Amino acid sequence: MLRAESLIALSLMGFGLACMWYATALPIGWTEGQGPGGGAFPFWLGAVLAVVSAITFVRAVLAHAPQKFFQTSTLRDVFLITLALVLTAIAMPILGAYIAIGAFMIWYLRPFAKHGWRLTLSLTVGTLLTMFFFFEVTAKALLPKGITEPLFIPLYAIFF
Amino acid sequence: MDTLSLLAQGFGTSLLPLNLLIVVLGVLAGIFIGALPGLGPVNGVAIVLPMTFIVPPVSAMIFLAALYYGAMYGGALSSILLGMPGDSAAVATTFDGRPMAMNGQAGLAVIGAATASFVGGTVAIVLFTLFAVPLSEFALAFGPAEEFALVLMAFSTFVALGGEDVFKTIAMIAFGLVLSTVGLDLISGQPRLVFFDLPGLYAGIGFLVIAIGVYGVGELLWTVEQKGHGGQPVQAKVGFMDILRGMREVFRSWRTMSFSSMLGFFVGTLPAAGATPAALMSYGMAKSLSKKPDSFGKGNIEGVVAPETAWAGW
Repeated sequence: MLRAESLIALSLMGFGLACMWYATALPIGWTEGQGPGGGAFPFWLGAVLAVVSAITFVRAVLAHAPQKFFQTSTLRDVFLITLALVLTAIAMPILGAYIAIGAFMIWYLRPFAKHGWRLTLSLTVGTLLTMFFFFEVTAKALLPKGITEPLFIPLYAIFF
Repeated sequence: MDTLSLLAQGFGTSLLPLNLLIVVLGVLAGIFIGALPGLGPVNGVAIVLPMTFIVPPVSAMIFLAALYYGAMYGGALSSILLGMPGDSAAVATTFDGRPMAMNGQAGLAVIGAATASFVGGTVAIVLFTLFAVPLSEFALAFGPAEEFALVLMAFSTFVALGGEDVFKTIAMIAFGLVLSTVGLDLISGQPRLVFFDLPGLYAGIGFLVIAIGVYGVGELLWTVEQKGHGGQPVQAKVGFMDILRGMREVFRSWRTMSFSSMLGFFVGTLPAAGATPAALMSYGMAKSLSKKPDSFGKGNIEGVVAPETAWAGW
């Protein structure tokens, strides 16, 4: 049995079924004179996804596993990074992109990758400054600020 | 003959020293923008659009075109060296460009991409100049049914060539298509698949978001897993002799190149078909026509040449 593969197949199957469930909020059949209803494509695509994932799952369970897919230590690292990325994404609209990304970088470079403080701080500050000047000043694309919005008002006054 | 005299006039204008300088600047800026994952040619052109107020209109057009092509090449660069496509059309370049870089052939892959896109672009421009008028009539006859058939053909090529496991390919196609239906239904305007009522999902899931998630985050996690094995950005060392050797190597795949440039040109004449399907289709075709289809995805130069030629042709 290929454990990693069967887990992925199972979660894709779950996603397909969830899509079918959500899609039934809209008509999934053919609306006379209009064509397929709004839910038709998500429903049937979800069905295809569920069926082929089920086939993959069965094949993965029956397959003969040659070796371990993951070393336990790398699994821990991958899990930590994924968790940190998810937390960063959640924090972005609340604490603002600059705090969220800065915190992620400091955590990643210092405790996780064990780099020195000098490298950590210079890379983090450099990235945040580049982000500000590239996205906000040059490209006029405003990043989410969350509760830090008031701090940026004097900066807007200078650069816009 | 009308075409030729207009063409001569165009050459006269674009070969002015100022305009040549603008081409160089535009390509440099474009490579830089394109190499950043998430910023593609279209964003690049949008960013520098205000510059058109400063320079004369013809020079501005030249600058934007140069930037567009530079950004497309920049996308290939980050595909090969970082394993993250800089823009959507460069996804197919990642399949073989990245393995080539990991095998220590980064320089060859980079030169291959440059040469191939030069050939594809030149062929397409010559053809386009000659056949622009009849082709525009042909393109206008291309309706929804024909577009559907074209996309269906692209997906069938994926399934046929996707690898050993057909079901996984189908699952991924269905997964991608389902994600594209998230948001407001185009026909009725009703929201669908808005999971947990997240407000962001009403606008749908953007292509770039997926590309960065799948390739960017995937690459990040892969690097973490390979920690200590030296899976880092690859440096390409390119000297003059390397360029000559690389070009000779690339021209050995002239059959792939001529085929892909015709394909790119053909897809490029169709409205709304885009460079991404052109590059992916060309990759699939090159794989099916190759004598060694197994070597694709493991670092075959033809896997870099085919998509790069096709998008440039587009």
